[in-house]
Amino acid sequence: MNRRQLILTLGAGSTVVIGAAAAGWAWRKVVSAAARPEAFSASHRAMLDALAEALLPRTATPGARDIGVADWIEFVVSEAFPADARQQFLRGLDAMDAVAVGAHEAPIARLPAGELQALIQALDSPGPLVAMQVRLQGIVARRVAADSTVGRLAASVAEAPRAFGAVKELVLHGYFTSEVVQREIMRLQWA
Amino acid sequence: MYDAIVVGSGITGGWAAKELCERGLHTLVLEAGGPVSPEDYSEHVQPYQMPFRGLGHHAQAKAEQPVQRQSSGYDETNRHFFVDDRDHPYTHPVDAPFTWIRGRQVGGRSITWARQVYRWSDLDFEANARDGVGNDWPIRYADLEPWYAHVERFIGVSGSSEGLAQLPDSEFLPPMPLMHVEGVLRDRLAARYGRERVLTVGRVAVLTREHQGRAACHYCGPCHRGCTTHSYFSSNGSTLPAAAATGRMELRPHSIVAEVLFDSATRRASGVRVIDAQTGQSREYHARLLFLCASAFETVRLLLNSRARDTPDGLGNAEGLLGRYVLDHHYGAGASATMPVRQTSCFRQPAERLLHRPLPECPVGDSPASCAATACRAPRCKRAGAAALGDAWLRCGLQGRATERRGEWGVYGSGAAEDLPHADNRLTLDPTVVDRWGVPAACIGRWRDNELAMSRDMAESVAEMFEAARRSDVQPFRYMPPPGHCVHEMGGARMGRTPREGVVNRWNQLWEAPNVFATDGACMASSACQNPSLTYMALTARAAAFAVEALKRGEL
Repeated sequence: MNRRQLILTLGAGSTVVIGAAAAGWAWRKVVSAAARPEAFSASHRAMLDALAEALLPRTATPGARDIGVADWIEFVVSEAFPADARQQFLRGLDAMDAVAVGAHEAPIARLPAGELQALIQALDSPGPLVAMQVRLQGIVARRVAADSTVGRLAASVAEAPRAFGAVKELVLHGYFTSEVVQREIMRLQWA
Repeated sequence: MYDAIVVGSGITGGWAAKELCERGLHTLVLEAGGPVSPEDYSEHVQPYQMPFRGLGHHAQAKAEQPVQRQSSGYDETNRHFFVDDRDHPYTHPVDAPFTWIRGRQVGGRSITWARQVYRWSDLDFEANARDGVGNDWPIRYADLEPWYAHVERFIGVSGSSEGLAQLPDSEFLPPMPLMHVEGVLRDRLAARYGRERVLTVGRVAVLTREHQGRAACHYCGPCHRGCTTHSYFSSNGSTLPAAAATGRMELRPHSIVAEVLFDSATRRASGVRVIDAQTGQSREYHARLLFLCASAFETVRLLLNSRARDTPDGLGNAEGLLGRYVLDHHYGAGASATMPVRQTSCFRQPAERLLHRPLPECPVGDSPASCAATACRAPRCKRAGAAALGDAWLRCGLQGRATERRGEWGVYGSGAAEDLPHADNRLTLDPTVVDRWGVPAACIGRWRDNELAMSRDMAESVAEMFEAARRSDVQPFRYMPPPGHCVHEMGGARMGRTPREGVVNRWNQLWEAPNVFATDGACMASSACQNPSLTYMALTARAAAFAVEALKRGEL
């Protein structure tokens, strides 16, 4: 099997093309052609879009939203992740939103900028969150039901930093390997 | 009827083909895998041209290549150079994992190899005798030295002469220059340790100037995906074309050698039985001379599968040595640190250029471990390196100045160390499991870990060196992947002075069948710490010269 065959075996409707002009948008075609039933919900997409743009905002250079990072993340998670990893990723997104609602009374996609940055700082440096988790676990241990609001929040708090780490990795990767960023911003000189 | 049959077209198979053809033999080269063409090399595919930008199709890899995907040389665009694990099963005891990384195509793993090449010295050839382990090598450095030179002159090896007893200099093309930060590390280590610990640029089969009609490397980075300019050594770019140029080579891909045919009347191999990989049909080929270059464990597996009335336990196994004393290198211990050196030039180089620089190599005094250090952020990252780059950029990006890389250099050093030979580290045939073509699978078992002490030493030694060189944030690590992960598996048909000590003799000639030569890693009686391919190539060239002369004298 040669390289072209390999890359073209992505699935029915795949139109990945190796060529500078079309390459940057090829995966977009695959996204629409290969919709999966367990693909992201609208709220997942909105959350990813908000997180990506908060991590890499448009300044003098394009931001993550301009690059289409959230779309690419959905493509990777839908297409390349094994089913169990995909489910874990989606549960992680839900956990992050649960923490946002618990701490700021709104899901990530609707948080004002300042509160979103505060949440990102908390998820990125899990020290304060660990302390919160310990306190919550103490409450849970005093016979609050695990499926109660507090119990579920405790589980989300435990899961959210890891989930954020996975999202951040994908955001960085999707941004910095995009054609626009590599060719026009970083101006990498490839041989 | 051919003069010679070579089994395998990888690092050693290509050399056997070239040497035998150039010495006048009509040679059939049987390769189990398929042909490779320039379109199969993907080294210039940019991350944004890959659907998953280099992250890989995890679901597909998990289903089809759960073992192969663990190799650091495996990625999204070169997975076709690794076997489909479903077609090529092997087994191991549940409590003794082994990671068997293989490629089956013309050129074998000479396409995906790490290109590091180092000579052995007598410190290595004498080690078994000195330490009282395994058996004494029947050869010494003086036997192999002219063949190292012979191989190096053809393949092109770049590196820096250091006059180190433990790492004899090769015949070098100009070395790749050390980066500034690597030079600083070298100077600080020299100030602290003198000649006891020397940092030098990695010695690689990569051209720094045009050589034998091949272009010098242009540093695009991902060598493990192949090279359309053949600027690193592979069979495809060098030895196979040389063999073909003689007009005496016939290369047959899709030809799985299932067994060596042994004639008990003549006590010689008469040829091989081959299964066509595409049709499943069997046929035989015959020759006066056989070179087994299928890669260490495939050669051992082939010999074990060569069961006849007179060789019920496999060819070469009369003394029960076949499959025993298998070895690898263990690695995954070292340290990382931050290098507070002011960056003197703006970062305009592709991320992968850093990742795929030849590794500076730091022989550690009288410890058998060798240490490879590279100054690069996140060198173990399988991705394009942009994510690692991204962390530094992220800080800038949040402040709205994503225009220039600011950040610190990281330094990373890890060791590769010797395994000791043990009789019950062995490869046998699985009693029930067969591959897709019905050939009994290998069972690779009972690896021993005396090596835990060595890995602790490696981590401590590298950390000590980084401390001495005034690094900050020195972090030792030991992640100890399972045996096989280093992809230097060897042994199983070891060289020995007598038939009771070895499966092959000092010329890589099977004691039981003098017209059969095993010149790949199967013949190794000890592993030393050096990347072994250069030694395999030298042994192959030397054995081919001997075999042709013996053939002409009518001894085979």
